[in-house]
This record gives sequence, structure tokens and C-alpha cells, in this order.
Amino acid sequence: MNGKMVIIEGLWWKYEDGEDWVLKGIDLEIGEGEVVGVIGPTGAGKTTLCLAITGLIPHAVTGKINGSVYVAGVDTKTVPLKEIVRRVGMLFQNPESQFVTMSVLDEVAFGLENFGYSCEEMWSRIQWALEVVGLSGYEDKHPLAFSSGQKQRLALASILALRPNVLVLDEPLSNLDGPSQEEVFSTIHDLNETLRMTTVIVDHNTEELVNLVDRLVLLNNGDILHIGAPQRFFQGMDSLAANNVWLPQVTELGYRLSESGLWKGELPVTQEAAQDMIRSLVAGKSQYAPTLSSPQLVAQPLQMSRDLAIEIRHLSYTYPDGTEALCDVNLVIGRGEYIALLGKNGSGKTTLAKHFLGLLRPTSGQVTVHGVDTSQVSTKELVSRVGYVFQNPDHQLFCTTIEEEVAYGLKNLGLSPDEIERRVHEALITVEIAHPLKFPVFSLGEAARQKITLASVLAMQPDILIVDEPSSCQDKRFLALLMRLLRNLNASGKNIILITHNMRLLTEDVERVVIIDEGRIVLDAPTRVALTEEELMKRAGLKPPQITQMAHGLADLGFPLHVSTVNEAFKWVCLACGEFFRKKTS
Amino acid sequence: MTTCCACGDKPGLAALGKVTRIRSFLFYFSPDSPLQRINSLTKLVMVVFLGTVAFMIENIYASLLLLSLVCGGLLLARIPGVFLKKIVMAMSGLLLIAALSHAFFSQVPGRITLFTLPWGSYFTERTFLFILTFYSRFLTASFISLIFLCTTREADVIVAMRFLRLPYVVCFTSALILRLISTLIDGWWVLVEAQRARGMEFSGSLIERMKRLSELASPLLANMFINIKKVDLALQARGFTLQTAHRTCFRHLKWTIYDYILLAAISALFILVAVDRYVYGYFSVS
Repeated sequence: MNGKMVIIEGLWWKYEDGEDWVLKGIDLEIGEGEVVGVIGPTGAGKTTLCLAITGLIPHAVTGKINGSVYVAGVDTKTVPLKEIVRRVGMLFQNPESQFVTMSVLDEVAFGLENFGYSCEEMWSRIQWALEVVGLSGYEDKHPLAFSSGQKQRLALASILALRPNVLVLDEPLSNLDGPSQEEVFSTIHDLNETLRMTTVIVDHNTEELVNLVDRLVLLNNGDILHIGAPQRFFQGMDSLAANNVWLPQVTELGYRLSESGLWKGELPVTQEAAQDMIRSLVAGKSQYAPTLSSPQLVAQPLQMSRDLAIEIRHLSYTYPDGTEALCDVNLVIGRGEYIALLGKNGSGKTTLAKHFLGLLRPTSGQVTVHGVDTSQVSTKELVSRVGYVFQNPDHQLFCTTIEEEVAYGLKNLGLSPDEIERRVHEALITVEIAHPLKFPVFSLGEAARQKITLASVLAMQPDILIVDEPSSCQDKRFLALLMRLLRNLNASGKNIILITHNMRLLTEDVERVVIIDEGRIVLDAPTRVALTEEELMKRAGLKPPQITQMAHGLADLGFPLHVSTVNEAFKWVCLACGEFFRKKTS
Repeated sequence: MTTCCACGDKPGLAALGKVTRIRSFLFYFSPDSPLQRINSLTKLVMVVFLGTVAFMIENIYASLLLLSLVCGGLLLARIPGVFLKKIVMAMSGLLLIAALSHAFFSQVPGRITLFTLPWGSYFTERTFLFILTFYSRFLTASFISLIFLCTTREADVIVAMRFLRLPYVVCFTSALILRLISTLIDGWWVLVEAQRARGMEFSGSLIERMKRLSELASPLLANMFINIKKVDLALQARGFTLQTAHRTCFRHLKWTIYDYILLAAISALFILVAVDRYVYGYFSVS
């Protein structure tokens, strides 16, 4: 094996019920102790590749295979699965779907029991694994009672206890908030530092991946398109952008500057490199840079409509199990506002939003929507005004075909068949769904299912649209479409309430940010002002966008701290340099 | 109660230094519940024996006495009041409907026939006693099962079943099926909420409500099958196979004085009722 832990040779794979090859001649070698990041758009074949490395393909998943996969010296096609999983541990995207017991201790012990370890050995390995992931002392806790980050760390512990040679992580961070992502990343980083464990990690968060991996692999349409160390990898920007890859914001900024002719060097992949780039660009010119008071960058005060869309007075909500989710919340949202509800997992964002359409009734306090007290009317009366797009599409799809699904709410509203047909048609065009109306919903891919959930709510034409954590779907094309749609809807006078912990979705359209922490509103301010509150955001478990973090390191240059998008940062650098050249030539 | 083999005591709680609520199949329950002092096998025996006794007794007074004992057990389980109230109300309501509908197709002999139904069934003064006994029996059996499901973890069930020398595959599959109960309940409420968010109202007559709720069955099953597929992969990824020759078990049953006392009491009651049923018949007189 010559120090190679994973060798993939000409791997082709087709699922039994699929028509196309999902993997098309993959060749990849991963060295011992190496950390490899796999990125690519939804449906690229990333999960399939993980299943192949783990041996679940072809042993547990049926289909047609060509080529070979060798892991820790064994051929995964010929060796029994049990022997392979002893060497390779896989962490799935959703930790909940891999929990098979009801306590932390039993969960970590499960794999060890399967391999017949003695009680003493099991106890020692369990203690070690829980120590590594920082969950010692929670042995009796139910896995589902943990926060998202803790769940993922428990799932990791249950694999680590088996002490595999190779760790395969399939999008372990997709549903986690900033701090939880950091928890998991730091655990993986420590594992690699201390145990030199070979790791394959699939993720969309390239901003974090570049700090962790030795090499990045771009997979699309079942084929490896690009491979290399992070610094070299991102130099091929055109190919990456064409493949809908989430790029680090700082790299995008470097690319924009390079395209405009301002930057001639290598594209930065880390915050520090980007700061160096900007420093070298504006060196000696910063006195010409626009300041915080420049009209192009000033934080405009909010002009709230006098008509109120939502008014919340002293709202508290306690779940039947005694969990106090909201505590004395006061909030006023004017008509036509575009706001973001921010906060870490479990902070109370969704609980608050569910009060807007009467899915939850206040334990105390009052919520009024367009002047109507939500506790005095039925949910049916509110849903024509307030639309709610759930986080997980599978929680919102319950009909057989696309047509039935989109028409479901319209029928409940009692609309005529002609009107229903018209609205279904319109909504599907808006979300760019071209499938036949009778196409089965559950056969659609993740991004298409998300689009259907969106269409089913848009068809009801609500005045207030709540979109709950859209970034749980990592498809870049879908998110771009969604953000464009939200902008257009807002421009036509609709209220948009975006619930998220993904700060990258804070585009220039979001006028106002409401940060919730442990059931209380800790900040309600214009977006630009909120982004300057670094400490408060950190306390609330939020991580500012990478470009904002970069800006904080350039405060001495007068770089505005409230920049949240690549576009804004690009504009500032151009203004600084442009002003310099203008003054110089004049 | 079960212990982990290496540390010999209930792990974790001491380390936490505080009371942590434990999740059973259905709910979180308090670890300081007295029922925590008895092991899962004793609880399993209790479910089987008391359930059988409930159906062997025909005397209404004895039946109500057993029901009140079981209700005492429910209180000892220390299930959160809100959940307990909801589930007890739902069970009581459903069983009352079942008892009444059963009575409409019964022919219980009595001294006075109150009325005869077109399909030949009739109501006597003893029919009401019959309804009450039917109701009490099923309620007793349901409440015993509820105590078990609310105070036992699936890992403890496996330990109990393995103690009875049942094959591991049977034990694990049973536990996994039971685990699906909580998954199904959670999934059910999520779907109800999603439908309400699109204007569906779960009000109206009982039939209308049942019809609307039944429409949830298909997406619920579809989601369940997707989850089962995922769990299956996760199981295999951690070395689970149907060959369990070399499998070890981390937890073991721990016997305390409470188990012996309870087992002795339940067995004595079972024997007493069985002997009475076939020899004396005191409990058979309704």
C-alpha cells in the first residue's frame, strides 16, 4: 500500500433502481493520516463515494459496481462488511438517523458489543471516546436530548470507540449552527493531530474546510473534476463557480478584485491571506478610503411602516414538558419589512415564528397579525396571511404528486378549481420546477423537494412569508433562487421573515436583524449595526460571515465593520483604490 | 434496574451530580421513581402476569381493586403530569367507546330485558356490569403496559429478554420496533403541524377528524421507511449482523430485594386467581 490508506481504482457505481452511473471511473489515493475534503453540488455522488469507502457499497446497498476500493489493505468487494467497518467508521449527515439506542452509554457500547469486546475493554474504550468528544458525565442522557453539536459528537464517539483507521464524515455540519460546527471541526482537528487518523470529510463549508484538510476534491456528476491542496485548489475559480461550489467569501473577493485588474497575486483562501491582500492593495491609500460615514456605506436608519404586520407583547411560551422556550418577548414588525431571526440551534426562533400563524398559542402575552389576535382566530384564518416554509421538506410533503402537494393549501382555502390550477401553474414556474404535474413527490431530489415546499406556500399568496432555515438544503442553485425570490417578493410589498443561523444568507436585502438567545431577544437592530456587535453575536452563538470577520481585522484601515457580503467589501476596496487614482491623476 | 458490567453501578448519574431525566420508549421519566429500583425483567413479568390476571377476574369489585392498584403504580412511575393526563384521557375514552360498541353486539342474560336491538342483541340489567368489567379489564391491561413503556428503556428490555435466553436478533428487533413508537408519535405531530400550516383544520365530527388523521398514515409510513433504511445502514456500519455468536453485552440485570418482593407478590396473586378461577370461583362471580 506504500503508506496509502485508501486506494480507489476506476470505480463505477450505479444504484439498482437507477438508470445512470452515479460514480464514473473515480481514481483517488489517500495517504495515511491525510485529511481529504470532498466538495461538490447536491447530487454529485459525494455520499455514494463515502458509502463505497465504508464498504456499505456493495455489501449493504445493491447496484452495479466496476473497479476496486482498497481500505487499510483490504479489498472492500471481497472482504465481509464486518471486517471493513472495523477499519472504517462513517459518520452520517443526520446523527439522529444513526442512533439505535436510548442512552449515550448504550450508543457508544453498541458497536463494541457487535465486535464482541470484553466488558472491561468496552468500558475503557467508552470512557476514552466520550473524553475525546467532550461528553464525559452524560452517559445516561438520551441522545435526542442533546443539542445538534452534541448529537454529532456522540455519533462520532460511537465510531471512535471502535478505533478505526479511516474516518469518513458525510456532511457532518450541515444542520449545525456556528459554535456547533466549530465544536465538531475542532474535535476532528484534534483527532487528526493526536491519532493521525486518515479522514475523508464531505462538506459545503469550504471556509472551515481549508483550515482542516490537506487536499480538496471537487466531485460533480460522478467524476473528480479538480483535486489539490486548498491554496492551489481555489485558483481554478472559473471551474468551481461553474460547478456551484460554495467558495470562501474571501476567495470570491480576491477573484472579483483579480477580474477587475486590481489584484494580480494568488487568490486568498483564509481570512489572514485576504487581510494581507487588502493591506497591500490599499497601502498608503487608506486615507482616501470611504469612511463609515460615507454615503455609499453608511448604515441607513430603519424606516418602519406605520402599518404593523406583526406585534408581539410580553410573549412567553412554555412547552408541555416544562421547557421555557420564550420569555417576555416584545417585537414589532412593520408591513413590508425584510427581517432575519438569528440565533443558535434551540434558541427559540422557530417557536417564536410558529406563533405568527397560530401553530402555537402564547402561554402568556399577545401576538397580533395585521391587528388580529392570533389566540382568538383559527390557524386556518391566519394561513391566508402568513405562509410558513418548514426547515425539513420531508416534514411538509404529504401528498402523492406535485400537483396535489401545491394545490393542498389552496383547496383548504376553498378556492375555485380554475383559480387553484392557475396558482399551481404560477407557483411551479416561479420556483423553476419543470417536472410533470403528476410526478411523484417522494421521487424528487432534495433541492426539488425544497422547491415544492416553497411553491406550496407561495401558491397561497401570503402577505407574510416565513422561511425556516433554508440553508439546511446546501444546494447553491436553490439558495440563490430562493434569495432572489425573497428579494422580489419583498419588493412587491410582502413581509419576509428569514430564520437562520447561517450568517452567509444575510444579504444586503435583509434590513433588520433580531437575535434570539435562550428565548429572549438580545438584539433588534439594522443589519449593518448588528454586524458590528461582535461580542454580543458571539455570546448568542453566532459567527459573523467570513467577510465581516475579515473586516474586523482591518479596522485600522478604516474598513467598515458592518460589511457582510463580498459585493460590499469589493465596493469598498474599489472606492479606496479608485479615489486614490482619481486624486493622483487630477 | 440494570448495571453496566465494568463500573458495577448505574453509570453517569453520579458523574453528573444531579438528577437527569431518563427517556423511556414514550417519555422522559424521573430516575428517582421507585419503579427505577426494580429491573426490567420484573417489570416485564408484571405486565404479563397482571395483564393475564386482569382478564381472569370476572368479579367487578376485584377488577376495580386491581385497577386502583395499577393506578397507584402509574403515580409511582412519576410520568410528567401533562403527558399522563393526555394519554390516560385518550385511553379511557377509546376503551369506553370499545366497551359500549361491544355491548351493542352482546347477549348478556339477566332477570330484566331492558330493550332488544334489531340484530338480536339485547340489554339487561347485567349488561351494564358487563360493560364496566370489560372497561376495567382493558384499562388495567393498558395502564400496566403504559407503566412499562414509560419507565423502561429499550436497552433494559434487551437485557431482560436476553436473560430469558431469547435470541439476540429477536430481542433487538423487538426493541427497535418499540423505539419506533416514539419516532412515529413525533412524526405524527410534525405532519399535523405542517398540514395546519396549510389551512387544514382537525375539527368537526369524530368521523371527519378520523378521516383527516388517517390521511397522515401514508406520508408517515413513507418517512418511516426512509428512516428505517437509514437506521439499517447505520447498524451495518457499526458491525451489526444477524450472526451474534461472538456478541457481548455491556449491561446486566441487577436484582434487588424489591424485585424479589414484587415477583413473589405478583406470582402469589397469579396463583391465587388461577386456583380460584378453576376451583372456588369467588373472583369469577360478576
